[in-house]
Amino acid sequence: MRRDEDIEGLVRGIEGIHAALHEEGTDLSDRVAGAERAAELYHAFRERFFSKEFSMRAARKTPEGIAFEEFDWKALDV
Amino acid sequence: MDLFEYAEKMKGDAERAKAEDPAIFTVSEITSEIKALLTSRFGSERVWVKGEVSNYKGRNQSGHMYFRLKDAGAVINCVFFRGSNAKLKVDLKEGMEVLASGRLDLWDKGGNYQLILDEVRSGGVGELHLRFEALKKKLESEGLFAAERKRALPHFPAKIGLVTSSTGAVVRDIIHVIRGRCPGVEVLLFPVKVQGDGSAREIAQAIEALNDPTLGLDVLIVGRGGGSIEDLWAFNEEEVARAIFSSRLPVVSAVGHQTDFTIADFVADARAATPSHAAEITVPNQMELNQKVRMWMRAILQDLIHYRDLSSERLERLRSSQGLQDPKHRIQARTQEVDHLTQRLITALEEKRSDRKERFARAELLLGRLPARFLFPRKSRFERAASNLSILNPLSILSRGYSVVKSKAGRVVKSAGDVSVGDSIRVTLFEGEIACDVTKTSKD
Repeated sequence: MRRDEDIEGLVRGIEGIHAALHEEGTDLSDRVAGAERAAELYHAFRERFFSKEFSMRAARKTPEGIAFEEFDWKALDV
Repeated sequence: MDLFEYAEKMKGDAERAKAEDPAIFTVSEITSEIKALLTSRFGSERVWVKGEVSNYKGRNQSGHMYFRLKDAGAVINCVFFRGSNAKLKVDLKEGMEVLASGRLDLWDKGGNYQLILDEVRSGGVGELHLRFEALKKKLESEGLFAAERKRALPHFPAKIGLVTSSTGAVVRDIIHVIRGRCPGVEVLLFPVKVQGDGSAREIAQAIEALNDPTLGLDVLIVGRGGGSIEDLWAFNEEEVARAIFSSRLPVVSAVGHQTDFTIADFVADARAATPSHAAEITVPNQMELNQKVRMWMRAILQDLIHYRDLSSERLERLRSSQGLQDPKHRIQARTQEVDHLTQRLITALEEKRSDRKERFARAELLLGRLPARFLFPRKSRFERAASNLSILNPLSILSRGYSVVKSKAGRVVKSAGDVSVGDSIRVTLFEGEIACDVTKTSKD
């Protein structure tokens, strides 16, 4: 699974549980299991989505080919 | 002379006659013929002509322009009517190199052909425009712009490739938007020249390099800031268009401003009006998404609490119900109820039967009490009718010794003349029938 699909999977998972719990006939045990699963997904979502900080690298030509190194984006006065 | 030789001779004769007697046109006729020839070649087709402005005198009193376009070998008259020249963006001057478009026409009264112009551009820009149109047409015919090959952008890209200059407003704007919307995204910049010699090659090579799967990118943004058509030209080069087309990753083009369209925009999977817009359509808004997910989570929790309360309430009701508290008593009560209903049913059936019996007895009694004066006249009328019926009954006649004779066809024989000797007849008696053959007839 690619990373973007990973986060998308988490979001879609929570959305799916939210939709399913509104269906008629869902019993209590299913509701509890759904809520537990949603909590797990939400935890993973927050961890993945908020833990990282913005980072940027830039390509530089080297005698061996192309290398990517940290790019000082703060110097651009963003 | 065969038929073919005769046809050839006839054709030769006609041509000789024509040479000896050439057609004579009036000026109008020959002009009309020339006009027809011109129309058949160009029709209303728009043509582009490159040349130098000559004999230019600006707009006349009516606002129209009349001048010539020339090159080293020829000259052509041009008319630029007011309605069309109002949109002219260049300041025409004598000797200026231009690219003009319009349709060819023949002016009968002046006896010359001319170009009715609808657009004039200065020479350099005009040529770029022609190259743009030609490449656009070519790539479109090859399917590079086809809508069905456009790929959707990933909803949550983790790593974005950026092909642009490492300095200037574009990279700054893109970083600003991405950090504001989704700071967890990583950007891999491939700095390139975005104008001038070699820029197209650099852009194409950067796109190719960022497609390396080991880099783990999800999407590419290729762009630059606004400028003149010459400044943006690298994004109109075939090399860049083909690199975008061959890209494994979806490409967002972000070249110039909203009004600038480049070939790269047509080939890319998505076109952004500006570089900032490119960043907006490429990364999700983290805060909005988080709000949405939190809203779902809240709803899930509320739903659970609601359902728990509902279940608790039902449980309490069940617990306090009589059925659960004293089930034996409940069964006894039901048994008694069934007994009571059964008894009611039996009583109802008996009542119904007794009622019917009583009604029958009443009818019988009523018949016995009918007065004799009511019954007697009816009885004697009935006896008379029965006697009449007995007299008319054919069987009672037969019982007195008479019989009925019928022919073979079943007709009643009333006279000896109705039958002939040898006929078969049937005689019906009071009891049974006799089949007979006629041996003799007599009317006496």
